[in-house]
Amino acid sequence: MNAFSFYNPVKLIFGKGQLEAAKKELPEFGKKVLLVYGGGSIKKNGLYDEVIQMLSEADLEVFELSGVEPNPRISTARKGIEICKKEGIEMILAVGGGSVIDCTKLIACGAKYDGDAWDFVSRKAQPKEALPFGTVLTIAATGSEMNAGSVITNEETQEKYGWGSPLSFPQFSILDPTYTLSVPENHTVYGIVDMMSHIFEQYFNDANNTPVQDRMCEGVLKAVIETAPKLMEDLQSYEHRETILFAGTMALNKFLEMGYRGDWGSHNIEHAVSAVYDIPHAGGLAILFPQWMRHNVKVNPARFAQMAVRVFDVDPEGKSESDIAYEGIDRLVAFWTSLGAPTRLDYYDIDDSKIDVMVEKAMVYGEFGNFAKLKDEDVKEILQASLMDAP
Amino acid sequence: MKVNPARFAQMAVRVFDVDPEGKSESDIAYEGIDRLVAFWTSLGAPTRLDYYDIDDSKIDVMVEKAMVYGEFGNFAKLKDEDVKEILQASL
Repeated sequence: MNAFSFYNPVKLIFGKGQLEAAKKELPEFGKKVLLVYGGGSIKKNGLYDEVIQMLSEADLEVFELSGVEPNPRISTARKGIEICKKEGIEMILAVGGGSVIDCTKLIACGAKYDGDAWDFVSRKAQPKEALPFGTVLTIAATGSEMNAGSVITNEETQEKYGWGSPLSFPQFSILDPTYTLSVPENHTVYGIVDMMSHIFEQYFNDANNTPVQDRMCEGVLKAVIETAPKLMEDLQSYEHRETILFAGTMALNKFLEMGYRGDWGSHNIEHAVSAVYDIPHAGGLAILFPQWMRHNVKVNPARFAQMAVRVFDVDPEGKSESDIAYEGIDRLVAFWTSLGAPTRLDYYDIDDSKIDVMVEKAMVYGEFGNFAKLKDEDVKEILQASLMDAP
Repeated sequence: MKVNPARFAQMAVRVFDVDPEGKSESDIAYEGIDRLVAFWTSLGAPTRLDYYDIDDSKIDVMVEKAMVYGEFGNFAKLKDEDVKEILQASL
């Protein structure tokens, strides 16, 4: 392991009926709350009304920012920051998925900053102060509800980067599986791909001797792989929604990522792709991650073979380490395909015309990846292999 | 074990690599527990209260102390006769 310190101050409030808890949490921060949400699905499923009711019972003055995009934009965060500054907002409540929460993180930090909030995303400045915020999660996927990370898109410059600060942790997050029952099939799949990808990013890391972490990663992956097909059969199953919701949070609240740095290279490449094409993040991951794996088996075949055997039940008998490794990757692709995830960029009508632009965006901070250090030719190869089915 | 044999069997198979083929759930469960004891013994841990020169002379005192806040345990709710049986089996 690497030497590490672990810090996660998020109060996780999980289970049926837990929205009530926000009534106690929020008033501690003041009177004026900015409610941030997305495209209106919470109005259709009734959650919006429940939240408004809760906020009024808590005697708070409510301001609203709606329309946060699936890949949240800097322009939307700026709008929220403006409301905060103009109205003297004292706290924010994010109701939605990872995009709404990521956007809220930037609003919270930007509201206490005189410059442009993009400075935080582009690493020109570090937040010194932030508004407190809580979240009510509506989809199992990103893990943003229990970490400090945020990914923001600058639609004018076609840039999309992750950033974070000790000040961008939510104060609390409310996870009621009931609110995830109405998540449609495609987004349920994206969420599952997303959380699995987060664990893969951590499984392939820069440290040795991580047997406890390995087993934890493998355990969460196994539980997701066992549960996902049952959930796809019955999207209304509270029990399976509960499992997947908890898995998504555990996948990226840093409990798994102690003692090492995960690779995170596939995320970097995906951000470059969806900065140019605005495709769903997890759709991009479903396509790119297996290609990243195939490209990097050579870095540490034993590591890939371990995953193949322990997570994907590959029978290692009489096979070479790299054969086992590739068989594991094939099983991953077969599993994601069985859920309905895309496997090729072609699916999003992406061809090779902008590969160089995407490579350049991915390389903006130089070589990257903590398990496999990628140069521009590596990124190019991975993208090319992702374009369409091999002949 | 009788509270939920499937739970013990799951642990036996997943943690102690018990082969479940052709066995009843409770057989699998007991085999897993045996493997746990064998593992701890292999490390040099004690297996009987006897090891610490504890005999049955103060069993009732121990039961009484264990029951001071009433029945306990969140998986299996234990009464005083349960505690007594467990202590006797440990001697």
